[in-house]
Parts: sequence; C-alpha cells; structure tokens
Amino acid sequence: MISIRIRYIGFHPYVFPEEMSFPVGSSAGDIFTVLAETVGVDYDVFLYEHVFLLDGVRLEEGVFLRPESRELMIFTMSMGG
Amino acid sequence: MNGFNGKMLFVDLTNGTTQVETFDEKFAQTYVGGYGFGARILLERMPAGADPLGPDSMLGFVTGPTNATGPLFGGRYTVVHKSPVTGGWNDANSGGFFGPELKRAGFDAIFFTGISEKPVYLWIKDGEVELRDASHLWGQDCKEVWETLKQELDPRVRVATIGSAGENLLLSSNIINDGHRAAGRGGCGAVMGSKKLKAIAVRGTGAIEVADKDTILSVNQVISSTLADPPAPLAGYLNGNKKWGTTSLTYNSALSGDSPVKNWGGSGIVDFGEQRAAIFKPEVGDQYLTSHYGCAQCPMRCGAEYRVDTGKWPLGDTERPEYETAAAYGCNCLNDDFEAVMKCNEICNRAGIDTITGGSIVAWVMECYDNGVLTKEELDGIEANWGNAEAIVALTEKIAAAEGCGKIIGNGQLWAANYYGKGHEYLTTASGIELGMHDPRMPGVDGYIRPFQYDPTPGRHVKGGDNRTPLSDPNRGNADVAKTAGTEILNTSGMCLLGGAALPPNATNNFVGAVLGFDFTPELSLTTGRRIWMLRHAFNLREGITRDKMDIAPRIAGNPPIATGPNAGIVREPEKAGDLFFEAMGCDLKTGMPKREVLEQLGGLEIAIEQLGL
Repeated sequence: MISIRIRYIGFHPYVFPEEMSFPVGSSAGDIFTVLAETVGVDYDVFLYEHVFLLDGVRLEEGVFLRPESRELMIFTMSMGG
Repeated sequence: MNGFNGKMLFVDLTNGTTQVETFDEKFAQTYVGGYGFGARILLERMPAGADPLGPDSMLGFVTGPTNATGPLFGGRYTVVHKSPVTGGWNDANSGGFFGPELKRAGFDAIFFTGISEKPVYLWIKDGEVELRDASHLWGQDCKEVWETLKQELDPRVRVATIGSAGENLLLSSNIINDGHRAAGRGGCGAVMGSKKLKAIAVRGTGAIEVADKDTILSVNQVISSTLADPPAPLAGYLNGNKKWGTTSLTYNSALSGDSPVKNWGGSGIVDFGEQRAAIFKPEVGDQYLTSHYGCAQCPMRCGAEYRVDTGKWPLGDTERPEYETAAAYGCNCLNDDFEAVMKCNEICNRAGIDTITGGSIVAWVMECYDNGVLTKEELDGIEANWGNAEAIVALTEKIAAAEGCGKIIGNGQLWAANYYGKGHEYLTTASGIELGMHDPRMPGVDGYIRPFQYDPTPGRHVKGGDNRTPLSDPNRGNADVAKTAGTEILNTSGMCLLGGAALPPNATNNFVGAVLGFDFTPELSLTTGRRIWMLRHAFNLREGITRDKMDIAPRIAGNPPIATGPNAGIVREPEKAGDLFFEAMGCDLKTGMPKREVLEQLGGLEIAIEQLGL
C-alpha cells in the first residue's frame, strides 16, 4: 500500500480525505471505484464529471499506481459559462 | 394572439421609413422566435451575396415566446444578420431587460435595412415609433448612451447600442444593452455601425397574453424549489452560479483543461500553474462586490456589480467579468492580473467589443510576438510578452480606439493575419471567428469540436450538440442532432442556457407550449429544432458556404497534440463527428446540402427549398 495525496479542484460539495492509501499496481478503474464510493456518487457519473491527473499525467485506463506515485489531482469538468 | 404581439417592425434606414407587418400563431409555432424567426425572414428577404456592411444587409432584433410572458430564465433576445466575420449566418443573444421591454413596447422583432445618411437611433414607446437624430450620441460609449437616453427619454428606458468599435466597423464589435449585457459574437456591432444606427431605445408597459398560466407557474415553482435547495449532483454548480455567476468556474477551468491556455497551445496546470490561477478563485472578486445583478425573469441572478477604487486601474463602478472574459483575457494570455481582466472587461463593455474575440486577439498577438512574427514596432511600441498585463490592457485600448494597430487587430485574428501576411500558423479560429473558451481536447468528452467547426455560427459554446456519446456509438449522430435541436429550441424561445441545470425535464417545451397554446411535444420540438437549424444552415449554403469550406485551426482538435497536463495527447475527430451529424441531419457529407425530401418532411422549409434550388 502507498499513501497518495488527494487534491480536489471543483465545484461539487465532495469531500475527499487529504491522503488515501491504495495498493501498488491499482488500476485507474480500481482508484475511480474507491473515489466514487468515498463521495457516494455513481461510478459512471463520477467518472464523467471529472478529470484525473496522477503526478501530472492523466490517470486513465491502462495506467497503474506505481511505488513512486505521490499526488492525485481531481478536477470537475466544467462545461458552459 | 398568445405569446407575442404578432407584430414585426421593418425599418428602412435609407429612406427613414417604417412598416409594421403581422404574423400569426402558425408562424410562431413553426419558427418559435429568436433566430428561428430571424433566419426565416432573412432567408426570404435578404438577397444572396449581399455585403454584410452594405445597404441590402438586414439586421434583426428578435424576441422569443418566453420574453415578458412569465417563464423563469426567459429574458434573452437575439440579434440576427449576415456576419462580416464569417460571411455566413450570424445570431447572438443577450440577457438584461431589452428583449422583454421591446415586446412590452408592442413589437416582437425589428428588422433594419438600408443605410442612414447620418447617425440615428430608433425610439419605440408603447407602439409609437420614431427615428431620431443621434449625432450627439455618436462617439459616446455604451454606458454613456444609456445614461443620456435615460435623461432624454425616460428613466426606465432600455437601450441596445454600439460603442466606438461598432462605429468604426471593427469585426470584433458587438451590441451592448442595459449598459453591459452583450449580444457578443459575429461582428453584429459593425453591421449596426455600417447602417449609422447608433441605438435602439424601448419603453413598454403592455402585457402579452399567454394560453396557460397555470403550467408556467407550476414549472416555475419546480425551478424555484430546485434553486432554493439544489439536489446533490447540481448543488455545487447551481450554488456556485447563484453566488459567483460563471466566475465560479474560472479557477477550476483554468487548471482542468477546460479553459484554453496560451492561445490554446498550453496546459493550465503546467504553463499557468495553480498559484497564478488562484487569482481566479471566485472569492477573490468578493472584495469588489457591491450588488448582485439578474436579467429579466431570472431567479439565479448570476451577474454582479463591482466597485474598484484602488489599484492600477481604479474603474469605479464596473461589472464582474464573466467566465468567458476572464478565460480569454486571463489564462489564454497567461495573465494572472485580475485587475487587468476587470479593466479589459470595462473597456470592452464601453466600446462594444466582444470579450471572447478581444481576449483571443490579444493571445494571438502575444504568440506572434513571442515567436518574432509581430514586432514591437508593428504593435505601436507595445511589448506583448505573454502575461504582460499592461500590454494586454494597452492592446485592448488600441482596439477600442480603433487606433494604430488596433484598427488591424480589432478585426480579429484572421483579418489581422491576412493584413500582416503572417501569423496564420497561430490562428485559433473556426471559419474565421475566434472560439468560445472551452477546449474540446478536455478528456472524456468531445466538447464543442463539432459545433465549433460545423454549426452555422461556428466557434460557439452555446450551440449543439451531444458530446458524451462516443463517436464509435452507432447512435452518436442521432444523439447529436437531438441535443442540437433542443439547444435550438432553448435559444429561440428566449431562455438562458445557464439556467438549464435548474430546469425540470421538458421545461422549455412546456413553457413554449403553455405560452403559445399548443401541445409542443418532445417529438414536435425535435422536428422544430431541426427545422430552425436547417434554416440557418440553408442561409450559409445559399452564400456558398458548403461543409467542405468550414474549417477549424488544427491545434483546436489536437493537431499537434498538447504535450502535458489533462489534455495531453488527445486528438479529436471533427470530420468524423461532422460525418455522423450531417448524415443524421439528412445532408450530403461533402457539401452539407440537405436532401429535398428531408426538408419536406420537416415542413416549414419551402423558402429553403426555393432558395437552394432543390
């Protein structure tokens, strides 16, 4: 398990812990599932609404958590305005 | 009749004459209002190939059925004309109070033709119409014009006007009503200026009948309840908009990949950075807040009045810059000076400049300057380094004054690149017009890539379309058409897109049906929305703007891809998205020409069949 710093930049009233632990090798889908459960939002809705950057690189299918991973940024996709 | 006065005013500025024409319920039910009415009228009455700034050009101000009839969020009117920027169809809508006031003054639409010998303004008061000399208004800015006419005519008069940009026929010019609400895009200010029409002043006390008040009230109650206590999925968005308007999104968008950065060539999180983006956190502006502002019939009140008494640019009373303005003059120019954004917003509102185009021009100039394509000498001594707040303000002031380089760059990126004979590689335009501040390379969705390139008004973030269904999904084309049709109905009805999240299902259709007095089913709404889109599209086809001539700057679709950040590596497929859309619309994939039988099935398109020779 490694501890990842979580940063949320968005307008939904979602509250994430400052740090969360995941097994090394977790897939993007594994991480999304835990995050969606954490804020109590349907997985598909949660995924659709957000963009994820793991240490500055987009977290998406085919990306896995590495031992050196440190920070996950979560952005709400804001369309309109 | 229900929902409208049933009257359109036609003004010939060359001869100084006016004529009132009537329309009936069937016309309203067929074309709804706004640009539905506008495209129907202009397709019939404006000659093909007319110079947008010439005497045959028509300029319309058109209300919708929800204006002055009670539906919440129903306060927007639409300006229609042929764009001097794209050479094709243009519509631009605006909030404030002008549209509903025009309707209460007795007219549902005004269409201007011709060119006046001297500056004039149109004064309408409760059905009485008069063209008046505007010599004393010519040269006044948009706020001064409103103040002058309030003193001269009526303290409650509502005014739509041009500023210096429109007077000087700059293609970045817009039309401002109520002092700071903008019909922004497509160069409408230049069309108005070319007619020597400085302003329209309206005052009305009339009432518009509606067919079914109870349904309007019941839908309004649902909207009010939603806004008072938004359900969880909407709470952040709606509460943010209630408190801070569209600026509630700016900080998030500057970093998430939604906002374009560095003239659409950079990444917010990498090139702009969290620290600099922090000046766009919504609470930063609270220190300037004096009051909240809402348009007619709006329960959200997303606007705000500011007062700035200190700093580099003490503006006094001003307005909170909208998201589009903040993104265009902010992260797209790598500018982290919020005071400069407020200053540019004020310059644009007074001069009547579209802030999306204005900020996009400055970003293009900065990229050209950074790469040695434009020099300090060509920019009147302005050192246009990325993020140079003083330079951003100076360039905007040049445009507002139509002075020096401002006379050139004030006509937009493409016009300026053609004038200088360079800088085309840094254009971020679609069919010649700058783009709304939403990057289609953002992960997960297509964003606006299809409507940016292929809507009859290219480059808009308020048009189209489905962007969630993957291109590989066989239903993508139909889904795009369906959502596009819904947007056509919302826009032409006079409703505000920003309120969309607070609307219950089918609300706009229910409003339109209740106001006009007919069963506006979802199926009928889909057909009607497609019909209205087809009218705008037919206008372009008649002008020779076939699908293959509608382009978009390659970098907008990710060619080459962004190297870093949320949008890294993403390449969009506007051609494929366009294929799916045009096929579902029943149009030829190469030219976009619709099949005659499609137009016949949609109905109400005899004028398009005739004009396109189908």
